[in-house]
Amino acid sequence: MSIALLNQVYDESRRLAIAGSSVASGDFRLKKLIPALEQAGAKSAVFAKLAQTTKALVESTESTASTALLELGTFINSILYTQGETGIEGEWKPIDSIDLGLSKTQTSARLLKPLLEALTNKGSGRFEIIRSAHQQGLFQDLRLVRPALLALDDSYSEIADFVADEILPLYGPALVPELEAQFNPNGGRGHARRLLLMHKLAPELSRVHVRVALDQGDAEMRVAAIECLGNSPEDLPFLLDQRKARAKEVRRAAMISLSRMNVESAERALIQEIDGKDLDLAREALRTSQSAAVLATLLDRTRSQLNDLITSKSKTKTKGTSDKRIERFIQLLACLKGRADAQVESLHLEILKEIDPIRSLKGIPSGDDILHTLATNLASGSPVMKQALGKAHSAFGPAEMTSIFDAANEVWKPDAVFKEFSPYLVAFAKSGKKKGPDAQRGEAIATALSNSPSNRFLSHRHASFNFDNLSKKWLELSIQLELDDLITNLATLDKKLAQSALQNLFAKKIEAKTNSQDFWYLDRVLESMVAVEHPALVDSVIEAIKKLSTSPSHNGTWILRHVALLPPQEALPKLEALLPTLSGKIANSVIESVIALKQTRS
Amino acid sequence: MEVDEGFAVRAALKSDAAKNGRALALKKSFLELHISDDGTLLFGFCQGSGKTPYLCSADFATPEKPVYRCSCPSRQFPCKHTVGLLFCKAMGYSFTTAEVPEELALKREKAKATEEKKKEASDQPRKVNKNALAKKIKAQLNGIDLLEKLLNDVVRLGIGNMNAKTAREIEEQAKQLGDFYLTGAQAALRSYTRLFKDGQGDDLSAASRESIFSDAFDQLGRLYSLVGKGRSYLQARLQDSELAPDTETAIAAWLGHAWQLRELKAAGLVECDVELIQLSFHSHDDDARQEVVETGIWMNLTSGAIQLTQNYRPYRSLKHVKTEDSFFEIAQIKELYRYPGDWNSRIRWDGMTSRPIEAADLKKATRFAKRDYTSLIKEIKGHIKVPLADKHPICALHVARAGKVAEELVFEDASGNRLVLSDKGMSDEPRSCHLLQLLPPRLLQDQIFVVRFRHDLDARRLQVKPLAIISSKEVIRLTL
Repeated sequence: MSIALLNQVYDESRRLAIAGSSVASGDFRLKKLIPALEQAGAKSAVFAKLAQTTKALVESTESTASTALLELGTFINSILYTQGETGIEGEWKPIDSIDLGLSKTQTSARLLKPLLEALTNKGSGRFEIIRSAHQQGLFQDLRLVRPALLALDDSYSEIADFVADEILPLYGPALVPELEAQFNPNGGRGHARRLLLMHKLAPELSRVHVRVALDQGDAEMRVAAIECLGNSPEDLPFLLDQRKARAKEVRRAAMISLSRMNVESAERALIQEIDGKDLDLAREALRTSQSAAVLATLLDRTRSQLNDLITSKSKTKTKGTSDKRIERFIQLLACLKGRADAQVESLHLEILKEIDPIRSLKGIPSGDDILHTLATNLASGSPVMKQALGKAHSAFGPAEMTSIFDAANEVWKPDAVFKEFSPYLVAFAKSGKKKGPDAQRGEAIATALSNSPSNRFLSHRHASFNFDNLSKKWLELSIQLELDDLITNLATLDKKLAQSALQNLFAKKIEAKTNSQDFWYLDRVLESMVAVEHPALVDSVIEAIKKLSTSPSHNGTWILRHVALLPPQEALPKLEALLPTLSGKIANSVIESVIALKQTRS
Repeated sequence: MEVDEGFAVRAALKSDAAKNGRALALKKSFLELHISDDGTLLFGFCQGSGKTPYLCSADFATPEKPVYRCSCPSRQFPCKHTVGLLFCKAMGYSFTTAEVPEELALKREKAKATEEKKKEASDQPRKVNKNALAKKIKAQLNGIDLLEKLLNDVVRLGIGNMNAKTAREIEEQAKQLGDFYLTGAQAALRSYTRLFKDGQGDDLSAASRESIFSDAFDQLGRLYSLVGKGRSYLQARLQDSELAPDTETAIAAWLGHAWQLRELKAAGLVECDVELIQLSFHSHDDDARQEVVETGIWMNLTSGAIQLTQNYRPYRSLKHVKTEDSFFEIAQIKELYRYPGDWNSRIRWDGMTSRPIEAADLKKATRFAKRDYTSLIKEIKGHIKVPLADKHPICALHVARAGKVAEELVFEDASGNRLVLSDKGMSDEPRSCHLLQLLPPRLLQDQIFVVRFRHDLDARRLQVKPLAIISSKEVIRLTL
């Protein structure tokens, strides 16, 4: 069977179907094929019929052409369905299996379908579906890999960022080939995310795409690409060039990448930035630079700027006027934040000796702003710097007290911290509406100690503050001074002591009138009770649920956090007994938690 | 009857009903929970929003066909109260043996009588109003004439001159086909017109237009065949003294005939004591039918045939039709009804029980896989060349190894015959070819793949899309 001839007939009939049957009659291209078809028809009945059908179309009139064309089209399509190629010739290669280690495909369609729609469609409420699916571990299903990759382009950036930061890294470097296949250097923010993700998962493999992104990408893509550079000497000329780019973000990214390169020209470039007008943009790069030359220059400039400020007091401006010298000094100091080198330490101790003249500097910014930056630097520096900051606590204002207290806690013994700083807390507790400097310092300490427990116990966002190193005396003092916020937050310092205090606090708050403020306190108290494994925790949570059910206007979803943390053995029978007495929204919410708790137990 | 949480979830019409039912059970909204002496009836009183508690029950007199009743005003069966009752049983709540309430006993008796009556009626030849049926067939023939006229208009206009506006105009005219009892033909015409509209009903881009021409040309041939075959079938039926529908081919369904189970049984299209394993499940919007179509792809463990369940949920009554879901057990069916059709026939049943999948089931399933691609391809080609055949047949095949040739994914049988993989043109299910590279290497050789065939009219090549893998431990689903 002549496939070429069949294909010709198919192409011509398809062409006529596209153009419309009114032009089919007498079509010369089709007419030209009839002799060949008739010739083949002598040997094959199929070709004979095809020749006949083709002829009928060519000889058709306007009224019969459509039927003739349909007849030919149906017939040729039927024949070609049997003539399709099936195999493929060529060298066999194994599939580069990147085995993500996922083979969970037993999730039901009822669960997967809304998730797939949330990942691939638009509209509100999708983020919650995706986040909840992530928590349930649904993304272990390999059918979700591609939709998750597509979500990198989601117009709702929270979803795209969540997928890039939390979900896709789960699949590891095996995902890179998929990312590579989708990557378009001319694409938008989604493709910049892909580049950063490739770099994060497989830095070496991603280099080729970084290069392409630098050559072809827009400003956003180039910033992402530049952030991926700095690990190879080949990057140097390009990065040096990008220091002069028009876009600030590109310049900033280039400097950060240069700071990762331990070569002379990169050092020179960063040193130039110290004296240039982009010092603020270079701050992050200068902070992280490992170059001794860069650091030496930075110290030198900071020292001379300090001398200039201290020695030429005559230039000091009055309050309210701008002072570029102070601004530059603050910028230089900010570039040293987080460093603990001996030279940095020594410079900061020198500056510390000049507190009084610095405080007297007027202008915008002022000497007080310098002291604030100085305290921040000392608190993030070496132990010696922290020690020095702690000792100088009375020389700084209330605004710096949080940094000072943090630093002292890190390097002093717990009792010494208590002895030195507790008088401030007493002053705060006893102060009235007008607070003196000591009471203000005490207020700063109370704020530091009463950071939301959710930060401490759950997400550890306040990890730099070492609560475990605090003296138990802080809790005793808080109970004595009736500082409720501190009691809930410091409860873990002495679980036994805290138990009765928390019990009392809970009783006080549960009896109060139901307003949002009271519920907020209840939330804190329960959080602390969870933390101290309070024996009355389950009963207290149940009391709180009862209270919530009598306040339908209050959104009580916060209680579910506590329900989820209850010991299932004790809590489930009590909660199940409670459920029939509940109604409305809170009942449905608690039911969900009970189901989850049951699953935890099983 | 074994009632576990999975059973209760499956019984619910939708996930919300399951959620609400579970909540009622947990809230202990059931004032009383009882079971009949013989254990075939669960019943209880549930405190709802009404003044008096609702009496709800799950009747397992016929275990594969439970009957759910409730005195609440809900139009959903089973309602959340009945689902809650099932959850109570699944959660191990105590059910005390009690006498069946009179109103329930009456209903059970009535149902039993109705069932017996039904059975008697089904055993007796059904009286057909032949005059009315003949009138309907004549109307259908008139409808075929209308379809032919519309088709000729469309062919005269040309595929290249079609756009979203003309597509809408043709669809408007095609509505008349419904008046002529040709809803199937109407959907077939919509399948053609919908090619010219994007998701929002607007014109396609130039590139997209090019890509649909071959498919549109094929669809015209299909409509032409429908006119020809439909007319001959209807004329033949009109001349038949019994006016019986054709049970050999799918032409009746193509025209819009909704098969009744008794008709299928009368035609001998029923199998007894069958076990099925689900290989894949997906749902998609079918614009042409204006319905959500939920398709389950099953293997019949008795015959090895791949068969389909199709649940059609019309857009206008989405809320009231039960949502089907993936099924991860073995379905045990006393009477399995099969629709006319030759490759992947549509199946239905009136009641079922289930049991967990065992390794022996998977082993059995693998034995039905086709191992020789040459003869399989010949069979497939013979099937798809028929204009009204399902152009995307499904089958289970043994893959000696999966690999790549010139960047194309390829399956190879033990004799070295190859099949190229592609997702192109099969958009009802999510894409799946890319998943092969995410699988561990052991799943890429000596495995049973469930695949969907498609002949690419432009590339003129027969290709396959993988839907699932039947491994020795489980069915790995590659599509939703």
